[in-house]
Parts: sequence; structure tokens; C-alpha cells
Amino acid sequence: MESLDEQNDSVSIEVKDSNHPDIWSVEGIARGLRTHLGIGKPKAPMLSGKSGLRVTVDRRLGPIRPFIATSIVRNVRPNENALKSWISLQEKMDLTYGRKRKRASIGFYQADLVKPPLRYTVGNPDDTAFVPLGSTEKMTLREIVEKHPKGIEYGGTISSFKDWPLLADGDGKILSLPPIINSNDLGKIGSDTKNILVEVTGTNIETVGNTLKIVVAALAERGGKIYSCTQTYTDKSAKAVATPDLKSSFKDLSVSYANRLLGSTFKPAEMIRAFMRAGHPARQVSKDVLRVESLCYRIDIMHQVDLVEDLAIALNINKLDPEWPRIWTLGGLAPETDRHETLAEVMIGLGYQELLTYVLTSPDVFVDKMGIAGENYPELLNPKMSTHTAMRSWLLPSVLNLLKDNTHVDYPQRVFEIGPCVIVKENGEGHTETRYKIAGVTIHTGAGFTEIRSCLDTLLGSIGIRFEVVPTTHPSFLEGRTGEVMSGQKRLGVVGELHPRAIRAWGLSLPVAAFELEIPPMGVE
Amino acid sequence: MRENDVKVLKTLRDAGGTAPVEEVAKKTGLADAAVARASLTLSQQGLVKEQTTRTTEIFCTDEGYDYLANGLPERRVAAVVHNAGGKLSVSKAVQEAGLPLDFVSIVTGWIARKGWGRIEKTSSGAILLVSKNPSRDDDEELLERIGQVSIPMEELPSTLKQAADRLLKRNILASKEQVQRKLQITLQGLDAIPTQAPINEVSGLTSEMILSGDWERVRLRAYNVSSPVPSLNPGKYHPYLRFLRMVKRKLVALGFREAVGPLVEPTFINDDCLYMPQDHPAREIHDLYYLKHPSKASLEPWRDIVERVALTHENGWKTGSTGWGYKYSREEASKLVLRSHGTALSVRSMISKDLQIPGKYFAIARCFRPELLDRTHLTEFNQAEGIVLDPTLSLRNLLGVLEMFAREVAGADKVRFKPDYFPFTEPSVELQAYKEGYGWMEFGGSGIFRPEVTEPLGIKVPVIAWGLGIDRLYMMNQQIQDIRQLFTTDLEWIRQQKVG
Repeated sequence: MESLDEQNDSVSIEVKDSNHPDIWSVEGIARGLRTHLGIGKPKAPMLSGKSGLRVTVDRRLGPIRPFIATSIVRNVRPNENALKSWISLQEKMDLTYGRKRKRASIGFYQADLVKPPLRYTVGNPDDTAFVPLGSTEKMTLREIVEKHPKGIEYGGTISSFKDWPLLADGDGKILSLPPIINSNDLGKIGSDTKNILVEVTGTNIETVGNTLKIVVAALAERGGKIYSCTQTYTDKSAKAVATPDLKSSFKDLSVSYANRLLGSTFKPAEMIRAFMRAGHPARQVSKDVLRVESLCYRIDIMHQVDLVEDLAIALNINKLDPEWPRIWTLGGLAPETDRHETLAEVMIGLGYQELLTYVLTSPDVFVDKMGIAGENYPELLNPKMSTHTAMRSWLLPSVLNLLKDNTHVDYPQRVFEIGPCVIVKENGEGHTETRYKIAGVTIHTGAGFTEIRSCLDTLLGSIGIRFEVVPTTHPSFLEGRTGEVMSGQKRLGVVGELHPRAIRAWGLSLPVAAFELEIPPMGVE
Repeated sequence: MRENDVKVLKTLRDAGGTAPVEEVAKKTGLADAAVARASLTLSQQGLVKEQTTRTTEIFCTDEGYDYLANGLPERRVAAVVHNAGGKLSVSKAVQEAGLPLDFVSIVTGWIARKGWGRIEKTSSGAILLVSKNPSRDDDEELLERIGQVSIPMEELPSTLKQAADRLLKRNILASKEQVQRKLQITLQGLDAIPTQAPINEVSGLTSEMILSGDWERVRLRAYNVSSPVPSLNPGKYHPYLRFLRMVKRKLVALGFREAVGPLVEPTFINDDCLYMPQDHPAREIHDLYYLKHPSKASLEPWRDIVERVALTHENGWKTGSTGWGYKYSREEASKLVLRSHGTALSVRSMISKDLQIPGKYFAIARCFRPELLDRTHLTEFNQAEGIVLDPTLSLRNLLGVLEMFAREVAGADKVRFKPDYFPFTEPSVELQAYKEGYGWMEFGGSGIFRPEVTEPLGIKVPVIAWGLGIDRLYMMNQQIQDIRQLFTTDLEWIRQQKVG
């Protein structure tokens, strides 16, 4: 429970389970609380009979939105709070479980105004028109998708098709344009609605069926009686499907397995009592086996472990005695980290301050300002900020990017960073490779090649790397004062004095000398 | 040391430590250029410091000199009116004060603004009324203070500064910028002056003195040990990385082995192996950074695992689960994303050929999510994450691991547990830790990996998975309110952070 508002006689409850839509309503939470507090036993929702309503399903919906499930709940007479709860359940389910209405979406109608049989069919977007909910004017389907707020929000689910889904009744009156909007005439329920037609359409038959179960079960919690409807498919399957399917599912659970997973020694009877509180009627079928019932709306139960968790919650996990695992293992840092630590130790000994900068940056930083070209780097498909659109391929620019903000801070500034960069590979696993690099930078009036080269020699010398520095050219560095750091045939990096163009590009005004190296793997000498 | 350098140092010493450059030139008898050369050498050696001060000198204009002698126009006119009994025609008063008639509006304006008198319009023209002789005001005081010389405006009290602004506007005063350069001798500078002192007083020990025993016959000049010395900036760990190192040390001490892994993963590793369905909302572009270039990975290295994971998603495979009941897409699985949670690294550990059971693994993982930066959100952050594997593990062990972290890593006084939800663990538990002065706070999420996660990876024992909110823990320890401070570019702040 999050908070209690005594003035308005209401409580706020945090629901963490994003796989548990049966408790996304006041009705569902009340049902859960009742059994948890032992006020009542879990009771499966029952079918009161057949409604007699048939729905024919047009085969042309196949690629668009092929499935529908309907039910009529009679004798509901909702009050304000009930309506509010159902609408919020509908919205939450459409959004999350229904994947923003793509996989499933819910519609409520006044059952008494609908003339059977229903036809779930397709309509031409420009030739078909009706008055959408919340409007007074007739609009074509295309106008609804282009202009109506719900059309703008959810139109993407159907707009790429030539024909769009349509639900109509026996008189040809349009009930809705699934999954966008209901008709203003038939698709508006209020406190005077006695009998409600619930309809779910979607692209996944299981999701569609589950959604219907959860909604009608919530309506039934307020005293509604559930009646089934029949869907007749006109595609190859030609199947007739009665909905909702309110059958419970049963799983056999081993008592010893549950106790092993919990680290407990509960007896079968204790477990049965706890399962009752968790809303699962259960009975013992053999010495070690319980048959556990999951009521039709418990769509989150995929595996025995889900039952064990319900058991643990019903028993209160805070009552379990925490126990540190009695296994003996050898702790240790990754070899890479050990290597980084050694390098950091030497750099710090040389008077360099360690830095931490973002891997995510922009080509402006590590390409443009450095004056290089032709760099191959990982680029984001969906950047959120113009300053974070790519992953850096080298480290030195990130360090200079930090120094540019510190021109007012005492010089000399000597800094280094050991950090990941990401390289695009031409082929191979993952097509990228994360490589750690080290960059060292010195900036002050007297900064120059000798100073940084001494630092580099000390660093590589300390870890026993043999290397030579051979003259090279690099767009970011001064010609004649730049060297390539070679260990045998392998290029480790670059060392030199930064080019005045690069210094100015960063808004700096003092000489800069720097090196950047791939971190040599251990054992290379 | 060159002779000129010594001269400059001695002059500064004798002048009490600081002197303007011109004074140094005068006292040493050196040319300005010679003083400049010497001061450059000396400041590079840290023996003197140069200070430059800029001042605004104000002085009288010709008009100002006139008023200095005869009084400001408004003063002269007010005096005439007062002497005439406190009431006089304006034009007459100006004439009698010896001023030309075009001063009428200026004078009446200032008399009114200074509150010395008032104007009355009558049929015969404007009349000036001055009831009592006004006392001397700031403008006049300033004019007198300046007199024939120029003075720096910065040294004036604020009332006279306002007067200076007024008189500058009236062209009674003029100003010019003055740059004054001063030299200050440092402590090292004082030591560096070669002494003519008697043989028995020296400024420093030499190797020769120590070896020869001469140190017994000399007296070392005493330093002023209380005076301030230059500050140093040592090389240090970055403050946040120092904290992460501490966390690593504690986890290693608890028997955890560190895992490392790539920042870019196919969604197969980041999500599918964790039994997150391919249309799960947390996989949308709002929650996951996808790569445009390169966009796909080959799943070839994990061919067998892909097969099992696909079946598990579709129908549960052999795990005893129902599965998610949808058609698994290898195309979707191969899309490259930036690692969005540390749990991806736990997957790496579980599919590693070096995996050991029993085993305990951890990682401090850099993770990425499409967030705008603000006080509570980073787009790039760190998660501490890990797993424990053993056939004997139970939910009680999970609680034991969490309790240990809360006490050892967070220094918590009390812990409690709440049910939680993650698609990849069941049961799932949230850890709440209580710390004196902070109250209860969420400190981590955890659970036992679902069989749908472990079995396709070939793992047949229970696996405890945990994650700790270390960014938040660091902010709490350091009393940092804004999470962006973790990646601050403020070098001064980084330098100033305490190390213990």
C-alpha cells in the first residue's frame, strides 16, 4: 500500500506485477484482499448460460486483425465508481497487456441496443462512416483515423491496410472501428446500462481470450451474470469458438520441490491454507503432490515457480529466515580490471587525476573537433539528445571535452581516463567490439612532447611492455612531434603534441600534449 | 642567478615583500626592460609572483578646474538667490552668478534635483526660491578631494563613487584606465637571495656540508614555518570510481568473481535469454537504445542456445512452462542494442565456458537507456549485478545474500523484503534497507531466475540473481542531490573531493 487518504476514503496501492492484469482493477484487488484476509474462499467466476449472440468473422480480417471474443454481462447496473474502475481497467489493459491495442483491445456496448447477429468484418475507409464516441458528426473511417484523438493515437495499428476492421450488428449499424473507437450510439455505457456487451479484438487469439476473461470476471465481481457468445470464423478453419472460456487450469505441485525452492519445511496442509489465501484452491492428491487450481483470470501462472512465489507471498517472505549461501567460492577481480588498476596506479603516481566521462557522445566531439575523417563508429537508431548520438571510438576527445569546461581551474592540469570505446568490426560476433583504452593529457604553458613521452615510457615500462615510438602524422597532432606507439607489429596508439587547430576547436589556449593507447593484453611483452 | 635577478629580489625584500614595477626600476636603477626580463625569469622559477591591478583614475577637466576655484554653477546661483533674500528671477540669478544664460536649464535642473530650492512660474517669468543656504554635498566634496591630482575610483566610498559617476557625465571629471603591475617575492624567493651573511649562517644544507661535517660550524637561517605555501594537486582516483572500487572490494571479499562484457549486445542476449517476450513494452525504442550502424549481429555463435530460447518463448520447450505463445523472430533477436541492464552480463556469465558451479559472479555494468538528463536520470549509468549458482540454493539464501549486501555494502541497520516483479525471476524480491538518518530506502531488486531463463542456457541448478542501486547509494553517502554529478566535468570539484 502506498498511501491512505482518509478524507476521500481511498487508498493507493502500488501494483508491481506487470504480468498480473487480473488485479489491475478495484474489483481484482478487492477479490485478492478478500482471500488474503480470509474473508472468503477463492471462487471461480461462472457462466450463467448462453446469450445466443453469434458473431461471424470475415476471413478478410486474416492479415489485419483476425480474432474477436465477446460476452454479455447482464444485470450490472454500474455506479459511478464501477464505471470509473472498468474504464481504467480497459485503458490499462489496452496499453500494457494489449500492447497499445495492437495485440488486443476492449470495447463495451449496450447489449440491449444491438441487433444480433454481429458481423466482425472489414470496411472501406472512405465509403464507411459513423458517429464516433464523443462526437456528434458522422465521420468516415479515414477521417476518424486522421482527425479523432483516438484515431491519431492508435491509427497506426490498421492504417497500412486497404480495408479496416469494422464491427456491425444485424441491422448493419456500426458498433465500432476496432481498435480505434466505438460508435457514439451503441458504444457508450452509463449508470443506466443494465446489460453490457464486452468485445475484444486483436492479433493474438490467446491474448484476446485472456483479456475477455479478465474483464468479465471484474464485471461479475459487482454482481453481473456472464453469458457466452459464439464466434464463427469463415476462414479455412471454419471453427466456431464460444467465449469466454472460464475454465480453471490445474497444476500438480510437489511439496518437497516447493520447500526446496523456499528453503522451508512447510507441511502440505499449511501450503493448502496459504494457497487459499493466495486465491488458488488446492488439495492434496498424494503424499508429496498438491493439485493447485488457477482460476481462469490467473493468466500469469506459466510454471510451478509462479505458484511457489504466490505461496511465498501468502506466507510472508519476511517470516523466512535469511541464510547466507553455504557454498565456498573464490572471489576475484576480472583480469582486465587488474590490468586497469595497475595502469591507474602508475598514472596517479605520475600526478595524473583520474576522470570518468560518457561513452555515449556525438561525432562532433570525437570526429569533427579532432579534425579526422572516415571514422567508422556505432551510431544510435533512436538518440534522445543531440549530444548523445553515437558511441565513442576513441577516448582522448572525451578528455578534451572535459578540459574545455575547466579553463578557469588551476593549471597545470594532468588528467587520464581508462574507459571503454566501441569499435565497429567488419565481421564477426556482435559486429562491434568493446575495447578499453587509456588516454593521458597534460595541459599547461610548458606542456610538450618530452613530458608526455616520459609519462608514456614510465607507464609502459612499469608493466613491462617493450615498444618503440615511430614518427607518424595524425590530423589531431602536430607533424614532427607525433609518434605511433608500436609493440612489435601491433599498433598500441599515438603520442604527441596536439595541433593548435584542435586546441582552438576545444576552446583551449595552452599547449596540450597527450597519448592514447589500447590497453595491451597481459602476457604481451 | 644573474645579478639583475638578485637586485630585484633584494629590492622586493627590502620593500617589505611587494612593490610596483616602477618602484623596483627606480630602486635598482635598472631599465624597465631589464626589470621585466628579470621578473619573467624569477616568476618562472616561482621566486616572485606578478600581480596586475587595473584602476580607473579620475581627474578634473578644464571645466572641473574652473568649478574647483569658483564653485559648481548650481552652488553659485543658489548663493546669489539666498543672498538676495531667498527669491529672485532665474535669469537674473544666473547673470549675477557670472554665468552665461544658456546655463539656466542646467542650473535650475540641478538645484531642483539636489533639493536646494524650487522654481515658481509667474507671469513675469520663472522665479527661483532658495530658503536656506544648502550645505556642502558629495559632488563638491569629491571635487575638493581630487583637487589638482588624480585618484583611483576603486578607492572611493560608494557615495562618492555615485558622485564621480555624476560628475563624469557632466564632463566635470574625466577618467582613464591605469594598469599597475606589482611584484611580490615568494618564500622561495626569499631563500634564493644569496647571503653575504657571515660564514656561519647559511640558507640550506649542501651535500658537501653534510659529508664534511661543516654543518656543525654553520647556523641554518630559520624559516617562517607558519607562512602559507603553494598548494598541490595530486593525482587521485575519480571520486565515483573510488566508490565503485570499494563496492568491488566488498563483493570480492564475499567470494564473488568479477565478470566483464561488451556494451553492445544483440537483443538475444539483452532480452531474449532473460525470457522477455519480443513485444515486451520494455523493449520498445523508449526504453532501449537500438543501433542504426551496425544494426545486426550474427547469432551463429549461439546457434544451439537460440534454438532452445526460441522454443521456450513459443511453447515453454522442456522447461515445464507454457511459454509466451507467440512466433519467435530470429530477425528481432539479432538487432543490436546498448546494454540496458546489468542482467545482460549475468547472461554472459551463464553462457561462458568458464562458468563454475557452485559459483558467485558480479559485475559493475555500464548501462544505457534513452532518458533525458535531469536531476534523477542519466542516459548512461552503472549497475551492480550478479548471480549465485548452486544446487542447494533457496529463497532463504536469496534473502541471506540481500541482507549481507545491505549490511556490508550499504551499511544498513535493518532490512526488510517486499515481493517484486521481473519477467526473468520468480520469486522476485525487493530489498529495502534502513539506515539511521535516512529511513527506509529501496536498495535493490533480486530473484531466482525462472527455469525458462536457466534451462535453455544449459543450467540445471537454481540461480539467484541480484542487482543493487549503487548510483543511488553513492549519492546518499556523498550527500549528492543531482545524479549528473556522477559524470561531472567540474575538475575543481573532482580535485577537492576527500579520499577518506
